[in-house]
Amino acid sequence: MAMRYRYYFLEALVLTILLFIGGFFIGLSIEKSRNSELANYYLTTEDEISSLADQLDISNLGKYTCSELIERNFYIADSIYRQALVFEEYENSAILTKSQLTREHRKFDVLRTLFWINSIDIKKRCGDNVFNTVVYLYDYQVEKTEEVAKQKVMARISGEINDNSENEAILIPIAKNLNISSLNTLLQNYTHINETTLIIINEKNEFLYNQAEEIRDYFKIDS
Amino acid sequence: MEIIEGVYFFYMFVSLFFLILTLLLYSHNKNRLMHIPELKENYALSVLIPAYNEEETIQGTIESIFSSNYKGLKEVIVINDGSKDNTLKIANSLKKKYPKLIILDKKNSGKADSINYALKFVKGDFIAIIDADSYPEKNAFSHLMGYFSDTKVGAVTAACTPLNRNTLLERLQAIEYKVIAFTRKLLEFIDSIYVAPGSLSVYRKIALDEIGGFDKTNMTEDIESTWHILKNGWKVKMCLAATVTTIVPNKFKAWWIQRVRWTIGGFQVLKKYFRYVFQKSMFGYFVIPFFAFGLSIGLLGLGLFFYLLLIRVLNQVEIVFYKMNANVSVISLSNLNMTPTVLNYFGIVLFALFLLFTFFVLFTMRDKFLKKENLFEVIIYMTLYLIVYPFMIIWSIYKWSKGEFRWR
Repeated sequence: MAMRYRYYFLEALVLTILLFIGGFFIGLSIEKSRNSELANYYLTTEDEISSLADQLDISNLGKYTCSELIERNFYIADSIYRQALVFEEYENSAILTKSQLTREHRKFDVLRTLFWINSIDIKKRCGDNVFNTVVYLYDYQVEKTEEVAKQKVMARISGEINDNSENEAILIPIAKNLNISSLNTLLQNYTHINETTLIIINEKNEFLYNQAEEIRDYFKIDS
Repeated sequence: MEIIEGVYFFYMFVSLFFLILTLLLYSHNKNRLMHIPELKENYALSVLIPAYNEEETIQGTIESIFSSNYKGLKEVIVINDGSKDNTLKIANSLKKKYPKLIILDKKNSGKADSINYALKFVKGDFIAIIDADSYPEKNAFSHLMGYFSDTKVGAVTAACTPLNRNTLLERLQAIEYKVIAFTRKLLEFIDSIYVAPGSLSVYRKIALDEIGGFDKTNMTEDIESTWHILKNGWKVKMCLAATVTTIVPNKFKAWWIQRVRWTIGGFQVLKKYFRYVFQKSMFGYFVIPFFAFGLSIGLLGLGLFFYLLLIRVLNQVEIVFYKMNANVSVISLSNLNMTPTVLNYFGIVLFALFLLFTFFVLFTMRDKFLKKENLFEVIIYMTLYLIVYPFMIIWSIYKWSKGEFRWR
């Protein structure tokens, strides 16, 4: 008796699988379209940072002034910050393309490291006081709530700096556990604290999550 | 993909599977949905009305049965189950008007025991069980009895719908009853009707004799008897054209108590018959797993929801603690992630599909039942009303484990 009904179940199963596969691909394409938006950001930022590096190279010829370089640097920093926020949102929403986003994230962090190097270079040429570099270092994809909490605090402090010191601070968020050799070299030079989450200001002052007041004092931000 | 996301996908897959199965059953059988089999013989029918404190409804029930156009009505037996009100008096007062009316009076012992008691006296070859607050339509018995031309049919049930539809709760139940009636009829096409409800069902007497009557220890004697009949190889049918109206609870507490009783009854039958799972019949292959799954999927969803909520709350508490210690703002706009995940989209699509299905059912059966549903009520039904179920299942498990349940 039961066997003659099996076609209903098989038909339902096949249709469910087909619909599910269809849904899966639609979901995949939604996430991929978000990822391609990030890829476009990447290309734009890469372009801008390369262009800045070129400008730095030829500034020795007297072609570009410091104020032009600094203005350009702030522009890039602003777009990096905004992109980081979008990136974070897409990362939190990614289900099917998480591994692809990890690779994208690493590419972005390579660029941000390059941007940090350029910023150091600009300060060397134009003077230490032209702007403050605020490098927010964190570990990518941590699961421990304690670490997540520390990152949330640091992200909030970074946001405060960005909102209140728009023309003074260059904010560069970088994940430091993605094995980027240039970053590792920089960190060997500029970090002395073995902490997963920290902020380095001007390559010499290191702050932890519980030093929000000190950071605010540094930038004269009211708490 | 994480385990929790895998569970979500599984949950959605199974929900989609059952929705598609239902739609397939409809599309393959839509011409038979309102089928009324030819009544080849006026089989002798005894109608049993177990009654406990039903003074407000018993007269209406008796009168609606006697106004039936079915020619084979042998007797109508009211079993007064130790009522403390005027049920017995009202029933007795109708004896003169209806000579085929028989009144049995006994001490209170529950519905199943009352029916078993009456089964000793019945003269018909077919037994209709009807609740004392239910009112069959004039042609309900005629429509139901035609199914018994098939000698393998052990029980036939009618489509039940609420009589009282004034409050929101009553109207939500009206939507629910309509969806249940529709899907139950579709399950008939794969021999998988899992309950011939007490509001109105007719049994072949030999099928009832075979199972030894109703199980008085079970909270839902109608589910138990249906499963027992299915296990013995009988078919259970449903006639969507045969309708019975019934009084549904109009207060949340009464509704909750009724549903907890039904759920505990469900656990009892599962426990009793689970050993027949995968018995070579639709009963073993589908009815038992489907019923068990229906009870557990709600729990799984609720468990998943609370697990995620708990994890999120604990994480947020720790994050807030850190933020307060660091003296940074606890809440900011960046905390709100406004980008939906694929799972969000899937959930919305699935919800929309079930919403469409509910509208489809209401539309398909519009000539038969209530006409007052509106979008708001259907959405309330799909959200608030159905969300209560998993909580009720948890409460039922608790009550069942404590042994705190009884018929009255």
